[in-house]
Amino acid sequence: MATIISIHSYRGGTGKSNTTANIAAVLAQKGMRVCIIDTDILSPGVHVLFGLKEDDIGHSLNDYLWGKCNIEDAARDVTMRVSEGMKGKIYLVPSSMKASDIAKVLREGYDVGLLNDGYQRLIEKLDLDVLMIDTHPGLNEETLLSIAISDALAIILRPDSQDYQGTAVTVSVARKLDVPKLMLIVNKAPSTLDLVDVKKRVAISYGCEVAAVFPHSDEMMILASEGIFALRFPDHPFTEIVRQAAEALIS
Amino acid sequence: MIDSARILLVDGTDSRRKKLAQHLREMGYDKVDEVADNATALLLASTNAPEIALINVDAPDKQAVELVHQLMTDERLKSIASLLLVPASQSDTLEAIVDQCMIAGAADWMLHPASTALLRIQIEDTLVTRRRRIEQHELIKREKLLNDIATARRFQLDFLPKDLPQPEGWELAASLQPAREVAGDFYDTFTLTQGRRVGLVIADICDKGVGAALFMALIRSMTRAFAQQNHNMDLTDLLTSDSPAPIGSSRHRGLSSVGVNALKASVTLTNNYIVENHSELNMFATMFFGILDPRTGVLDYINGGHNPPYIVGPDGAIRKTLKPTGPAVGMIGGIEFTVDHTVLESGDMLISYTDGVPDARDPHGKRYGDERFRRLLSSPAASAPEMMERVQSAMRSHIAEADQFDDITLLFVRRK
Repeated sequence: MATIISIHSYRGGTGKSNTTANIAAVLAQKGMRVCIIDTDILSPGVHVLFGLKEDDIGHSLNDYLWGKCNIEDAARDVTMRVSEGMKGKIYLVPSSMKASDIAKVLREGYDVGLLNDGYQRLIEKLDLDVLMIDTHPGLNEETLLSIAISDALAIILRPDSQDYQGTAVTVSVARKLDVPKLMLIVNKAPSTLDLVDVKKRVAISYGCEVAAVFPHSDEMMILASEGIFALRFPDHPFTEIVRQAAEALIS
Repeated sequence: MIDSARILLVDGTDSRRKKLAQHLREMGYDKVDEVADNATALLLASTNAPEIALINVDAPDKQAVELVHQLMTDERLKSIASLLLVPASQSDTLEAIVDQCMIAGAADWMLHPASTALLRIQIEDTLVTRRRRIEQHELIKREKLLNDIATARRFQLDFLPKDLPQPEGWELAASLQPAREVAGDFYDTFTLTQGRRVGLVIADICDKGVGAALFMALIRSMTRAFAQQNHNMDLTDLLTSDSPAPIGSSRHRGLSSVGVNALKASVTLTNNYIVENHSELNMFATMFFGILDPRTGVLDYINGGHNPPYIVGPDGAIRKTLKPTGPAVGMIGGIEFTVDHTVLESGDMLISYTDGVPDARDPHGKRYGDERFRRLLSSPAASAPEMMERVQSAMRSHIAEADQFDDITLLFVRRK
């Protein structure tokens, strides 16, 4: 039985795609078959971390939604792009970067039920252990659907007051949707803060488990956008936190 | 002689009018209303509905012209024939006025006084001409109506899909056997989400006649148009409601299957539109609307008060009866239609029909009945068209020379 994990944040710029890619990578290193699906159709981005350019994308999630291909045809095996000799697999279903495709989604919409069908079919066809859904920030139908069918939801927030309030909204929605596992990940915590204390305070204020607190670091910021940090620096303390978060989400 | 004709006698000169009225009664015209002026004449014309008006053309003024004009331009009064009475002594000076009256639509004129025989002949002639004119008018009206009905029927049939989708591994068959007059059955089949789903609709408007046919066109168009748009799920309602989401155990399957939003939105929007805009007509439709996934055989459906379709297995046994999941469409505004689902396995056939089947009457008035219909389905059929032929032929031999008084509509879907 595959685990479906949604990674969400109320606002953009929290490091959602980065966290998704890193968690997927450490799970694949453990030997799992993982697929990331970029449902942030209006502002896609996770493909960049796997070194895919606009022209490399080929079939995308958009093509599936418009009936041009099956969902599994839009899934690319990106394992070799990020690591050689990995035990597991990483697949990626990217969203189209073409402005015309994004415009078409805005203009015509699509049957949101196709996402649900697509998730189930990906799990079956790719024999997945974990499906990770990179969601669109904020709340919309796609995000709500993804959250509703997930086994686990990780909400990423930065320790600032806008994120604090927004996250409260998402947490209450997730509770209504009855997600079996709801976790928070604090990202970009200023290094001046006591991370253990942050973890405790966030957990208390939302009444839910905090899977990880990532400290902000300039070094990380520079490296993060050029590939998957956890694979390039397996011994870095940051990578250890990624592993803890991944464990917490799939256990 | 048509002695019961009601006559309106208009003459401003009292003595002459009274004399003529008396004379008419003596001739056997016992329903004579006498009036002196136009206003009273029009009033009596509309209350007593005379067949003929005897209008005296007398004074040099245009009273008579005005009256004829008013009678002829009033839809309710124009069937009254005006016979002008022209005083013989003034016939020369009145020629122009008589001409104007005739142009305005008077039936005829005669000199007055005339002999009893002539008066009678003129009155009777005018009445006969009038009746002929009315009969002809009725005939034209009826022909036009029949023409209109034929056109309506042709248009209605045009609302049915020209070609049925035939997804791989499936067979669809449909037919609509119209009753003599226009009625309100329809079926519809169309693809959704770029051919990944097939919409199946069968419906029966509660009434018969042109009103039902108009409604059929409306409902068919609305359901299809709404179904082919992309709709939001109810999930966003969560943001405004205090109650938890009704998801429960359906975490993975059925929460939002492809086409289910479209199905629900289509039926709900059509229902609300009818209730909000046409509630005074008391029109509604029983409707079965299914969304089929040809790949898996899953059929999500709403049954709005329609005769439950059957799923017949390859052995002819009725495996499932798809009971109503809500009331008829257009009956109750703002209500929620529940979506149910079932699966068609290989060899299964969905049998959907309208009540024209069980309600079909033989020449003695006996219903065909549900029981007999189920028995008819119970021997296996190799294909959907074969089953359709079987049902159609059973209907033909049951109804025989009796009048088919309701549409008979069938939509069968078989998984090979």
